[in-house]
Amino acid sequence: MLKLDKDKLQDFLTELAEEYQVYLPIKKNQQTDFYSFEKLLNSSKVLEIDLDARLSVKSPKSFLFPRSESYLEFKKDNERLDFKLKELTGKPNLLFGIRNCDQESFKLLDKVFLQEPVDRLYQRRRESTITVVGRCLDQSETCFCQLFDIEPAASETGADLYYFNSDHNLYFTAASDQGELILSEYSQYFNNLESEKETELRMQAEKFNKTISTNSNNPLTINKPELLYENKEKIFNSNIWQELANRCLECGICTYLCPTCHCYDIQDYASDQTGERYRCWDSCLFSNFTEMAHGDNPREETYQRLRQRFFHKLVYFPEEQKESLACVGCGRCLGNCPVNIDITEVLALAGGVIND
Amino acid sequence: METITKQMRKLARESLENRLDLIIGWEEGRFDWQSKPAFITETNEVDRLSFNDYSLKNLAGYLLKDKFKNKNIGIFLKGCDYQAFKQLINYNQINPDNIQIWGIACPGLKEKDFNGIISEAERCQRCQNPIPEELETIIGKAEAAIQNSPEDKYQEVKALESMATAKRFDYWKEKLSDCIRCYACRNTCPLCECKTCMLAGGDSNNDDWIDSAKEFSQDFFFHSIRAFHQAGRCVDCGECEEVCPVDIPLTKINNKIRHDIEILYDQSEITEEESVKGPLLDFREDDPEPGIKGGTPNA
Repeated sequence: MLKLDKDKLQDFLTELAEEYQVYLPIKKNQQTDFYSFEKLLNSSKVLEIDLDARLSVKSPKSFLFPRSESYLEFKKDNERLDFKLKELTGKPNLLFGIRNCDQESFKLLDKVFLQEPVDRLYQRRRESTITVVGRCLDQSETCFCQLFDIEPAASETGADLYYFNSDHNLYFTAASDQGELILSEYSQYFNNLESEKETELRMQAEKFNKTISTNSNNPLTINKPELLYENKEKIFNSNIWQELANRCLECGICTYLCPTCHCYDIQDYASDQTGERYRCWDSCLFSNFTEMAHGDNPREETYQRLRQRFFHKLVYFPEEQKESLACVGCGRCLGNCPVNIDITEVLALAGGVIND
Repeated sequence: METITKQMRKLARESLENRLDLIIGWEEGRFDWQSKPAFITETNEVDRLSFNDYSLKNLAGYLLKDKFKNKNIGIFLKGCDYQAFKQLINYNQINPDNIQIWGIACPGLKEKDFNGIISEAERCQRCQNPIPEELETIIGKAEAAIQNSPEDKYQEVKALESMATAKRFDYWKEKLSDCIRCYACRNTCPLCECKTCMLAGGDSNNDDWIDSAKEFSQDFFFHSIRAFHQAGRCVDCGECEEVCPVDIPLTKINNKIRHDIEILYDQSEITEEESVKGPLLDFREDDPEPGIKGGTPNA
């Protein structure tokens, strides 16, 4: 474990930014989200790095799977039609200070995009992205990652670097070769620390992971997420979906803020002779999501679309992906759905159906 | 709040026993800083109803849902919700005959921000109509309703207007570039009443006027056209800004247009009177035409 004095953080990041496109949590307009460090450094605004925010507003999935991504250019030249795949240019990304729930969500996205047939657009971003996880030593009231066996103080698998944010320092551990390389390449910023301090931090992390995973009073973790999977028919046909659909606004907040939602649409931006093909996020809550070219829509009603979202996360995804559930308990839906529809409420309602 | 809740439950119980099929109100949310819309059909469920500091959601928009169209509905409306309700009638979107409305004298509500800080809801600080006075039944005490001075209504608009054009454009560019196009602003708006939005995410993708690509031009196009379509309708209930996950100050755009319309057409009150149509529903020869050479500047 190596220690970095927070006073040196900005210098460290400035040097990192020469090699990487660094994104980190920045407070802007009272909210914290990931912004490009370099861009902000060059702007006239005061840079407010916020490593204390429990979670960014948006999930950092957009760095692997952007909101929209133009990838193919086409041009008509007399009778010829030319295609050109857009290359990814620029420095590799380094995501500094993401939380372990979001890091774990990358593993789920990997299952979708990196298995055959491999999604090359995702792959090229994924392979050139370094992740640095800020360990959580507390939770906000909307957090429930323990329900999915995620250790917020971090299990050290998946990211390149992990750090503890404690008192005036950041305490780093490398968890990959890339991570090791960064620690050695920028060694002038790091100091060794007393073994007592390291033991103390590790014990604190272990204790925290254990406390939250064994706390049976948390209302968010009472109902087990396997519930839908195990009782799918009964829950699929229950009227809870109609009830939830009464208030659902059919907006895309839950799907767009969710770190594991990954549905997309492919569209063209075309003029007479030239054009671009891009893919962009889509949401199963939108009424045209499953609309067919001939006008038929297999999920015409709101309740069907709402049910699809939760069934995808808790039934279809685990069926496809060896029992992995497609939720990491980040709680963004709990805090942001304008009408309070969240996955833990769905589990509670589903629990009611089973016990009926 | 407790008195309002008690009265809500009482009214709901009585009317479900008599003639209504469905009551639309609020109930407690997941956390004590939340509140969510409640749809009650059985008398044994009325105790779920609850009005708290966070019962911001404007319920009027739910009356547009097809599934509720032929039901006898009882609905609770705060002052701002009632303004929206009147507009839905003006625009012939709902039939008030089978709707029972109960007004709430609104004490002004609260909101919790990203950092966990609880404050008076911004929208309530501009509110000029906390009590739906025209209604027969109003619950909550009139003297407890929030009181603002008329100057509070357009303070933010005035600040915006005082910015130089280029600076104002930069301001919106920065704000709108955060948009994720979840369309929550549109979907939560009680007066975005189109069945199919021609801008985006409608029932036929091919007809979308804006591109799904995350480009500033498209974000700008979406928000500015939506604002123009709300001209003459928007009642500043603040729903759009409230739901926006990235905090785009959308009410500033709508209020700027509201302010302009009030100056141009000398009309600030929303009424149900047939003789007074909305400013953009009515054409008169002497209408101001500030955009036309030789046109009259204002009313």
